[in-house]
Amino acid sequence: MIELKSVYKSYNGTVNAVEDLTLTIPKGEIFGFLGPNGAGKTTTIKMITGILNPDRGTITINGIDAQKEPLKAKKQFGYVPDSPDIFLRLKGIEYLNFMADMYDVPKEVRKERIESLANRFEMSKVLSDQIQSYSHGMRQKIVIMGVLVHNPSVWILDEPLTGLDPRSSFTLKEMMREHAESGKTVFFSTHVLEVAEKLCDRVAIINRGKILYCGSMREMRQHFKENESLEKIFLELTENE
Amino acid sequence: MNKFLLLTRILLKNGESALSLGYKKKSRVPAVLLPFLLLLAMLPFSFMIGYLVMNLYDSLLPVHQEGTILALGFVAISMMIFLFGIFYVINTFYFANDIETLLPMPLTSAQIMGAKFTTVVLYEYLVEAIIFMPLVIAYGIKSGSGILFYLYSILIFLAIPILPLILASIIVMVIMRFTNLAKNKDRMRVIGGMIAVVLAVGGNFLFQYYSRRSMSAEQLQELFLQKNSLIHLVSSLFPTSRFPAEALVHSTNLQGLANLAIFMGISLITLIIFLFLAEAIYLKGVIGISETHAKRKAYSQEELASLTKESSPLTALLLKELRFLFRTPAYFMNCILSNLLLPVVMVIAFILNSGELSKLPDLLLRFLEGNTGFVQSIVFLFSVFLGSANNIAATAISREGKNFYVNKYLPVPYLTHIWAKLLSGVIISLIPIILVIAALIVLIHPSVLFIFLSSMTAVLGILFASLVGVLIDLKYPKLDWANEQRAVKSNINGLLSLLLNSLIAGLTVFMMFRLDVPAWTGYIVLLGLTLAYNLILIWILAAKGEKWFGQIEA
Repeated sequence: MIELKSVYKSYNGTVNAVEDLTLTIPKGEIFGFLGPNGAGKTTTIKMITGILNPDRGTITINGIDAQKEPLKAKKQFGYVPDSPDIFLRLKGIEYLNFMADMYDVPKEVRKERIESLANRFEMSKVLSDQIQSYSHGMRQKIVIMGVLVHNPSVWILDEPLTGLDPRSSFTLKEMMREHAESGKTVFFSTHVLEVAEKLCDRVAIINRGKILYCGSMREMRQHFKENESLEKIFLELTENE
Repeated sequence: MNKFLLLTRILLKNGESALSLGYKKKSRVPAVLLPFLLLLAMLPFSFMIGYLVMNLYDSLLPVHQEGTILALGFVAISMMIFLFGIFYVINTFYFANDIETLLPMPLTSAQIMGAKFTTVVLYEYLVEAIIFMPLVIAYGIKSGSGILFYLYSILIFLAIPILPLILASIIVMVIMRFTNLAKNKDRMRVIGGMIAVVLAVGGNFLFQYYSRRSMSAEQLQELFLQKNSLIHLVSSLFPTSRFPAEALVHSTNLQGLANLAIFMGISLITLIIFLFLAEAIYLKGVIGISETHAKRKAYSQEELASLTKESSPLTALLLKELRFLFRTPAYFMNCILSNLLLPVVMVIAFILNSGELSKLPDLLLRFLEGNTGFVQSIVFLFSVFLGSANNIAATAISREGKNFYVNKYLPVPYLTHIWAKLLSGVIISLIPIILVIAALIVLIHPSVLFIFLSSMTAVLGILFASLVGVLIDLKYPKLDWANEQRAVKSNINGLLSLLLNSLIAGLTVFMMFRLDVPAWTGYIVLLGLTLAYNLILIWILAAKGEKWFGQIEA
């Protein structure tokens, strides 16, 4: 569960990237975070993950205050950044083991997890190579594997499906569903409305740092016209701002 | 030609050259001014050279060998440019990953090469000016030369770096042409860089060795009888250096003009040959430079078990730092290989001169043991230099670049990240120290006590230098770079750390020299000082490190 209460963030003290943002992402749900480019999605995610400090407001993850107990809060989630071009000079296996060390994953568990993740994402044959040699989709997969290796209860994914081939995309969506159904939290941002429509239990639409809408897909449909596509709703919402 | 100028301008603007020292656009100091600031910082050094030249002139004038000063200066400049050039050429021609953006454009490789070469030459002018200007001005004043002397000087100034740089470029291009055939490009490029440096240093030594051997005492005496005849001897180290020297010495008559013409001609011809050669081999060596080797082979159960061992976050982070330093060609060349260069040169020099050294030990040993305080302060200075010259600590944060944010979300205290970075710098800086101490043990058999004290001083010196570097980089990280080469090569933090470190260590040595106390009292003062430096810096790091690290938002 992720809770943001009246969170503010400005850059250079003038432009408000995020303004009075209050958001609750409950357990057992896949929560989609939608918005046009530059709406404040990534800024919000960066504040939740501790990459940026909010100017005001509180953020808690599974009830742990991210400002007061940052290390404990960081152990609650796994984060997949929007660019997978990280740790390029490490071999796949070295990266996974590095992440396991960062999150204190015991030896007995980590080997088994790495193996099963590698099988599921069809990455067994590339673990011995440097990430540098991977394609974009493979890099995306190794970053996701690095997150899953410590089995976090909260998943935070920034545009996770970009660049994945259909099979891996299917696998990830399947895993997101399994994770939410086991009573845990999945929070992800996306541009692809079809994905949000098919996958999410609830969505929030953000524009210019403010939440325009937050609720279940069904409520949203009822709120607007029953048969209107999400695309149309999205365009209407973000246009009038 | 237009495309060539355009490309040169873009490359300079884009900061691919070392001229822009890693400043962002919004920086208070315009990037254009930085080279001049650097020159200003080197002014004391230039004055020293001018002073030396004037003194040399006075003592060489009675034997009519004053022209030798010019030859000596030009040889030194050429050598320096050649050695620096090897690094710059590898960096700009091969490690600045702009080539994949340039290849799809309608440019010939001579244009690309010409533009890249020009950026390197422009940088070398900066380095050259530090020695060339005081040399020529001091000589000009002393000899009362006319306007022609200075006009010739300007032409010579412009032409001097071309030859040594082309030499460096050709060596590098040929090596890279062959290393590019290998599958594992990263590794081969690193090896290629090493071969180039070894060839350059080794060739240099052989040349010196033979040119010293080939001259008998009678020949020397005979040489002294002719006016400025030593120019020939001195410039045998870098043969083309005699032409500019002769041109300036005889600037008033036709002989000078002829020599100038020969020199300019040689430079022009080599430039043309170079461009043809570049057309023929450069692209073959650089295409596919960013491809990486991949085996695509699954691990066995046993391999997987041994590769998934558990370690503490500090160890894991340290290992990550070291892997990045060794595997990234630009880091390996600029941080690790250059770090080894000085001690290797020293050790080779020791060995080549071991014949003469063998008579020394007793005297040297007595001095070493008798002046512990002063000698150890020199060891301190040397280790501080080694600890900061490799730039590892002073670019530790900067090297993370745009991926710095990753450190922020990992559930590890920021201080652990900082310690890991500090340790990586300390460990790599210790390698050359161990090499030099090993060479000393073999060559002059110092006492166990001397080795112990020196090792301790060296560790303290390296720790001190690394702490200064990490603190500077922590406070002012330069995360906005386009390729790895810029993170280490054109990062002002490296220069700042080197200057600050040299200043503090230099003052310490100066003080020890002036103190003139008994050997052991001196040593205790030094030990107290170096311990205090380190403790203060560690205290600052522990108190502020976490906060500064947290403030970095990229």
